[in-house]
Amino acid sequence: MLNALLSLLICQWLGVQISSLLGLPIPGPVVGLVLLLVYLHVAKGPSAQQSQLAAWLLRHLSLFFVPVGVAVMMHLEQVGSAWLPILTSLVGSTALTLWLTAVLAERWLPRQSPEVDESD
Amino acid sequence: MTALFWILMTIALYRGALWLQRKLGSSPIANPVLLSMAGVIAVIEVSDGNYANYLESTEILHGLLGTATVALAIPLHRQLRQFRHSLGPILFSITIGSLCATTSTLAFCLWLDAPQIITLSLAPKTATSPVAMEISRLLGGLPPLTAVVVILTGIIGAMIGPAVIRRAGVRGDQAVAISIGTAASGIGTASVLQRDLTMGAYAGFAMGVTALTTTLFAPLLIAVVPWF
Repeated sequence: MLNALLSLLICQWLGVQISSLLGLPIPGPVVGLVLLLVYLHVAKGPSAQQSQLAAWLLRHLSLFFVPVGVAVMMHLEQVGSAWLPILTSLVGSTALTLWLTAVLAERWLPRQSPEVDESD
Repeated sequence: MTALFWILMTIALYRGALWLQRKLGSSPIANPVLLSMAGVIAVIEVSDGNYANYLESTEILHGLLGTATVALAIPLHRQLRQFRHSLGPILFSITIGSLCATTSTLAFCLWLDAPQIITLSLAPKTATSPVAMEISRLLGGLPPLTAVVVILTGIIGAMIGPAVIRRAGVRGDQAVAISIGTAASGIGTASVLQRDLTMGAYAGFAMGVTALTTTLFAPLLIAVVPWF
């Protein structure tokens, strides 16, 4: 597990450094994600440890959003009296986007389950 | 309160939220981020009311959000071959979806007569928070308000997503994941990952592409909105 954790932290740290040094508009962890993708391509896939750790971190991604969510409380006064148009816009636009994207993806994606396609 | 107390409290409340969600038949309405948040806020309110201290104490959980983002490379890498087969349709759906997100947000704001600064802050709401805040700053919005609406959008999308998509008659797992990743960025992706790692890769990919397309679309659309 230690090696897997180290590899993720190294990619994250490098990503943050690269993003801030070059003044990229892309968040550091996303640069780190790309670095890890390149590494995985070279290494021909993740180690068993890396897969395990990633699966655990990603299954509990919601947990890591909790502090970000609580931070909302500190800026709630910005919403102020405009809460009704804000909430209506958010719900309306999110519902429309979910609907349209799902319908388009369903129509345009080739019909197959991802795990079965080993023919080529 | 000490950092240890707040980290312990956050993990315990999250554990409780997962338990409650399972008790409620794994309903997406019982969103674990929302439930844990509500619990933490209640505890902060009855104890010292010090939000800044809470955020400082749980810095490590916030750091792990970045680590988990990096980890998304692993399921993405596994799906790369699959992606190559259907990259065109996937990109097309996400691009049109994110264009719809920004356009409809502006339309709703105009219709409801929202103050201009609110409209500008809401425009990039479908991008993931750090990107959305930067777009908001460039447009002349309020980045902290944008951060709030990105989180709210994620929670709303994760809660109503499965029901809306079912209503649309869509059943394909990939289509569901792409739709939620596009409309509800990080928290939406987290809700997909909770159930399935592979589909989470699709949602995560959609979230990334949406951040890019929103960076392009939001300033363009703002430029053509009549009252500017």
